[in-house]
Amino acid sequence: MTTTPLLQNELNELLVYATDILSISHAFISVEVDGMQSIQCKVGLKSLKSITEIPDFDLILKHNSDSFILNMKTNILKRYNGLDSLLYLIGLPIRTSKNNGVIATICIFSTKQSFQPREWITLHHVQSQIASILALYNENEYLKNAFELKELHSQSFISNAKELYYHLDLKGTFTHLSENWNKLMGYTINELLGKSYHSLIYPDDLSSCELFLDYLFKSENSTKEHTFRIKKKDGNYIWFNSTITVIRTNNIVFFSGVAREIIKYAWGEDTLREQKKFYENILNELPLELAVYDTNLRYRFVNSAAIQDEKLRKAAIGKTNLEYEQLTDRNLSFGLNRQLKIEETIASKQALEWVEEMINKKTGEYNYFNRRLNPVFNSKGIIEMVIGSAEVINKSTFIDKQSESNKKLITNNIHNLAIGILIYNKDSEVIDYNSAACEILGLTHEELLGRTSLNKHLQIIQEDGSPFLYKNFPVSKAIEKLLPVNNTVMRVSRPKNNDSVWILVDAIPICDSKKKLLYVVCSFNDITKQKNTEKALELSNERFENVSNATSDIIWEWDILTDLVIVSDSFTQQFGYSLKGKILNTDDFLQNIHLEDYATYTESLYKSIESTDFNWESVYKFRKANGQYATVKDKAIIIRDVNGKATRVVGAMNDITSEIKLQNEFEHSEKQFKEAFNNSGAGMAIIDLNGFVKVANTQIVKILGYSEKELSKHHFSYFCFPEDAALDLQNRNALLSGEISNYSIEKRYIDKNGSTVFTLLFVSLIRSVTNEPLHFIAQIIDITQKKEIEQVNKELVEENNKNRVLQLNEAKNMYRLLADNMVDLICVHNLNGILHYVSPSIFNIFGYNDYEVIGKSAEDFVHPDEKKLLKRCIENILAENGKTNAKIRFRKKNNKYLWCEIKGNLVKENGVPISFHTSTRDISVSKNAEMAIEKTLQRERELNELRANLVSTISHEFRTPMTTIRSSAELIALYLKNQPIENQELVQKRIATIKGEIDRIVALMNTVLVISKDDLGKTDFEPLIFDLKQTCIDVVEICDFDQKDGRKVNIIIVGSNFAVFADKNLMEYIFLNLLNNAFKYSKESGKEVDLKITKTIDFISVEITDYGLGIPEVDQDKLFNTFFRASNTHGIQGTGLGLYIVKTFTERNGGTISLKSKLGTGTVVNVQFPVAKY
Amino acid sequence: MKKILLIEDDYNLRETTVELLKFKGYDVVEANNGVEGLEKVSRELPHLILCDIMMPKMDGYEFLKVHISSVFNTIPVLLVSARTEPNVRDNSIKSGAKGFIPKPFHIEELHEMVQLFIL
Repeated sequence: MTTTPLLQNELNELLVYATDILSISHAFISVEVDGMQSIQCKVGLKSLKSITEIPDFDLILKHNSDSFILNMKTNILKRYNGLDSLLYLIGLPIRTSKNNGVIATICIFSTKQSFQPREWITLHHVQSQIASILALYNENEYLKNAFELKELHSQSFISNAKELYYHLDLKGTFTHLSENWNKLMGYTINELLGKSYHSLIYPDDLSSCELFLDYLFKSENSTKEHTFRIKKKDGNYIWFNSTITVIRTNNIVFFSGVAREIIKYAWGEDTLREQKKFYENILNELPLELAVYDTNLRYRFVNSAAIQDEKLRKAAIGKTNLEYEQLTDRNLSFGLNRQLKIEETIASKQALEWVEEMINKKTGEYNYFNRRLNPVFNSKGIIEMVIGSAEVINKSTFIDKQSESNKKLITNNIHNLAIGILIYNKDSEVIDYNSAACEILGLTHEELLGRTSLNKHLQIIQEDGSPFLYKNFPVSKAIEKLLPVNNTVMRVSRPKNNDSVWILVDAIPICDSKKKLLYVVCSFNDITKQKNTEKALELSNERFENVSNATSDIIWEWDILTDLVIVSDSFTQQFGYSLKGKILNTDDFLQNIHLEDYATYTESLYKSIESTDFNWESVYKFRKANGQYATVKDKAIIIRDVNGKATRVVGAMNDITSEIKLQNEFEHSEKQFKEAFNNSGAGMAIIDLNGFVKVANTQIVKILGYSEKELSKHHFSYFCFPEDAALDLQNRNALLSGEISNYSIEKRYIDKNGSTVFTLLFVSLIRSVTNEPLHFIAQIIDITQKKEIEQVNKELVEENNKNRVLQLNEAKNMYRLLADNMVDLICVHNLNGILHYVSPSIFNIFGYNDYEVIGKSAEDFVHPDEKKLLKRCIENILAENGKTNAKIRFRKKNNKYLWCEIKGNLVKENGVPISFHTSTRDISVSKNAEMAIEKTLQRERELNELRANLVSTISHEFRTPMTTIRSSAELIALYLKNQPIENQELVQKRIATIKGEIDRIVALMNTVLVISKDDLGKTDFEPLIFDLKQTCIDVVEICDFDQKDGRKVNIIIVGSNFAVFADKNLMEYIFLNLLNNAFKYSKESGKEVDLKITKTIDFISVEITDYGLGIPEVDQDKLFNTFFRASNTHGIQGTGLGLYIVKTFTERNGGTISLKSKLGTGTVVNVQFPVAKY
Repeated sequence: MKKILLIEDDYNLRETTVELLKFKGYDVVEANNGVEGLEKVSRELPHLILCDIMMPKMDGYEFLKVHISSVFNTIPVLLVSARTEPNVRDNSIKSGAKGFIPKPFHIEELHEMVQLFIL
C-alpha cells in the first residue's frame, strides 16, 4: 500500500499521544509499503531514516504475538542521540484480520523490559487504533480505486455509444433524427428528414422491417427490438439493433427508435469486405473460369479468367447472361443456352456438367471446356446461388504452370495480410499460416504447423463462456458440410501470454472440380478490443441502472459527443413521461426546462463544461408530462477525458417543488406573523413562564413608554398597578394549570412617566405539541381614553336624567293642557285598551262625563258592526307600526251611534311600549253624506239590473203567449181553409198579418235582448284562435238553407290560413246578420249574394256584396245608429238595430266595418279582422 | 196512430199545441209538469215527448235527467223553450234531448221536428 500525508498526520498524532501518556522519549510507527516496512512517524529519533537501520527488526514481523521485546545492542544505538540507556525495543505489530500479515508496527524504546498493566492497556489501545485507521484508509483506497475503475468503464461506454435516435411517422418517413446520424452514418440530418426509411434499409431486410413496424403498430406491447442493416452514406451497410416504440400522443402516432450498432456485425462487415476482396483476389487469379449466379440468374461474381476485361467484368455483375451477351454484341443463343442451363440446375437442385466447344476467333483453334454448374444451398436447404466454372481441358499443362505462380502470389498475399489466416487440410491440420495468425494466437510457427484446432496451447471458449465443442469449430464444420462458415466468435486463451483474445473466425472450404475438398481457409481477426468495449458497455449500462434504481433522484447522463440524454426510470415515474428506452435527444430534454430558467441553465452548464470544473449545480423548473413545472435541484459531475475535454455529464435531479413551496409558505407566514405582530394596533408581548418579557412589539413600547430592552429587564408585575397584579397572577396560574385557555381583564399599568394606563389585557398560553406550556402571549389595548370618556359620560348621564324628569313632567302638563282644550276627544289607553284618561270634550261629543268612561274599554261603546274593526285597529297600534286610522261608530249617552274617525298612536318610554293614545273626531256629517251617495248608487245599480231583467223577463215571458196567439192564428187559418165562407181571401190575409206582426215583435224582442245584455256587459266574450274561412262556410250553409227562393251565397276565397283571434259566436252573429240583410234587401232583384274572404299580410277581410236596392247616400252615415232604417226600406221587416249590433261586435273583436252602396245597384259591406298572431 | 206526450204548464199553449198536433194526425197525451209527465210516460208509452223547459214542480232538464236513466229512455224527447240563447240549446242536446224547438214556433217547423224524431 501507499501512504498519504493525511495518514501520516493521523499516525503521528497517535504516537505523540501515546508517548506523552507513557512518558516515552523514543518511538516510531512503521507501515508496510510495497512489501517493506517504512517509518511513517517518529518521536525522538531524528536521524532514523529507514527501518533497516534497526537490527533484528524482522523478528518483530516474524514473531506471532501481540508484542515483542528486543534487547538492543548498545553500540548500534549509540548513533542515536539519547538512546544510550534504552536497551529494549518493544515492538507491537499490527496485523490485518484477513491473513495475519503485519501491515504496521509501533515500536517503543524503553529502559525496562516490561510495563505496568495500565501502560500495556494504553499501548494496546494505540495498537488497535492504528489498526482501525489503516483498515479505514485501506477501505478508502479500495473504494477510490473501484470508483476510478467504474469511471473508466463509463468513460468507455460514452465514447463508444453509437446510438442512432430517430422518429418515423406511420408512412415510414423520418420526422426526427439525432446528430449521430451525421457522425456515424455520414448523412446530414436535412438530407434524411422527410425521406422514407426504405431507401436506407438493406433490400433483404426491407420486408422484415415493414412487417415488424406493422406488427408493432398492431401489438399491445408498444416497444420491441429489431435487427436490420442500414446503409451508410458511403454505401456500406451496417447491422443495427433498434428498439422501436410506438408513441401514441393525443392525436399523433409515430415510431420512436434508438438504433445501436452491433459492433461485431459492423466489424464483421468490414472483415467481410476485406475477405471478399481477398477471395476475389484469389478467385481472380484462378486458372479456372468462375462465375457465381444468384437465383435470378444474374451474375454476382465473375473472375478474371472468365471475363478478362475489367470493365466488362464489372459491367456483368448484376446482369443475366443474356443481358451480358447483348452488352457485348455476342451471339444471343449462347447466352440463352447458358441461362437455360442455370435454370435447369436450379430446378433440379443438382450439379450440371457438360463439355463445350469454343472457337478462338483470333487463332482459329478449338478449345474444349469442361463446364460445370454447382448449386449452393444455405443452411435451410434453399438454393442461394449457382457457381459456374469452366476448365480448359486441352491446355492443362499451361494451366499447371500458371497455377504454380498463382499459388506463390496467393501465399505472398496471405502472409502480408493483417488478418490471421490458417489453411487446414482435410484432416483439419494446419498446413499453412501467416504471421498475423501467429501474432494473434500467440503461438510460434512450430506450435502452429501440423496442429489441429484442438491445440493444447489454446483453450477455446464460446461467446457465452462455455467451452467450444470440436464439431462446432468452423473448420470442422466447413470440412463436414463443405460450406463456408462465417462469423463465429470465440475466445482463445493464450496460456503463454497468460491472457485471452477474442477472435472472429471464417472458414471456407476450397474444393476441386470434383467437389473433393482440397483445403480449408480459416481467417480470423482479433476482436478483443471490441469485445472488451462491448462488455464495458454492458457494465456501464448496468451500473447506470443500478445507480438510478437505488435513488429516487432522477439520474441522467448526457453524452456530449452523441448529444443524447439517458434518464433513469424515476424520470418516467416522477415526471410522468411515458418514455421507453430512456434515451432522449438533448433538445427534447432541454425543451422541458422552463423558459425563465433556460438561459441561466444552459449558460451555467456550458460554462462549467468549458472550464475545468468537475461539478455543476443548478436549481431550475422542469416541465412534467402533465404540463406543470417541478422545481428541481440538479447536481452533476462532469466527466472529462485525458485532455480535460468534457465528454459527458452525469447528474441527479431532485424534485424539490414541495420543499420550495413549504419554505415559501414558512417564510411567508413568518413574515406575516412579524408584520402582524409589529403593526398590530394592540400592544403585544411574549412573556416567558417566569413573567419576563421576551419579545415586545412597537405598540406596547408606545403604550408603556419603556423600550423593549427596559421591558425585558423586569418582572411583569413591576409595570402593573399594584392592586391589579394579584388578579393577573391568579389568572396566570389558572392558565398554567389548564383551567382556562385564555383570559381577558381590564388592568392598569404604570407607564414610564409614572401615570396610570388603563388597558384591556388579553392573555393566552401557548403550549407545545406535547402540551408543555411554552410562553404567554399578552395583548394590551390602551383604553385610558375610553375610560376617561366613560367617566365623563357617566356624569353627563346622571345630570341628564335629573333634567329629563323635570322636562318630562313639564311635557306631561303641556300635553294635558293641550288635550283638555281640544275639540276632538283625546284618550289614553293602557295596553289592554282600558281608558286611563279622556279629554273633557267627551261630554260635548258623546254626552258622557269622564268618570263614566275611565276604567272601561273602548269596546264597550263600539257599534256591534265595527267591533271586529276596532279590535283590528288596536292590534295595529300595538303591533305593526304603532299607528292606525279608521272610521268606527260609537254609542252616545243617548244610545245613538255616532260615526267617528279614530287615529291611534303607540307611546313608548325608553323604547318600551307603555300605553297608546287615540284622538276621536265626530265625522257623522260627512259619513251620512257618504252613505247617502252610496245608497243612491246602489239603487241605480238595482234599477239597471231591474231594467235588464225586465227586458229579459218580458222577452221570455212574452214568448209563450206569442206562441199561443201565433199557433191559434195558424189553427184558425187551417180550420177556415176548406170552409165555404165569404171573403175567404181577406180572412186569410188578416191571419197572415197577425202571424207577421207577431214574428216582428219576437224579432224586436230578440234584438233588444241582445243590446240590453251587451249594455250590462253580460255578452259572453271568449276569444280563441279559429279558422274564419270555415266559420263563413258554416254560416253560408245555414243562410242558404233559410232562403225559400233558392238563392245562394257565392263564396270566393283568396289566400290561405285565415286564423283570427275572436269570439266565434259573435262572429257567427255578424256574418249571419250581414248575409240576412244582403238577401233581404235584394229579394226583388232575385240576384244571388257574394261573400269574398281575402287574406293579406296583416288582415283578413270579408266582403259581402248584394245586387239589390242599395242605400240612399244621405242615409249611409247613420246606418250604424240604433233604430235607424234607410228611407227606402218600407215594407221590409227590420228593427233598425242589426247593423248597430254588428258594428259593436266587430269592434269588440278588433275589427273594422265599412260600407259602400249605390242606390239601385247594391251594397258592399266589408269587415276586416287582424290576422291571429300565434 | 202515433202518440205524442206534451208536457207544458201553460194551459192555453198546451191546448193550441194539442189541437195543432191532432190536426196533423197525432194522438196527443197531455201533462202539466215534469212529475205528471213521468207518470204519463210509463202509462201511455208515447212515441215522442215534447217538453217545455221552464215549469213548476219539475222543469224540463230535471224531467230529462230522470227520463234518460229510466227504462223508457228510448222514447225521444224534444225540448221546447222561450229561452233562445245558444247555450240553452246546447245544454238541451247535452242533457240528452233529441232536439230543441225555440218559442214561438211555426206549425210547420214543429211538424218537421216531430216527423224527424218520432219512433
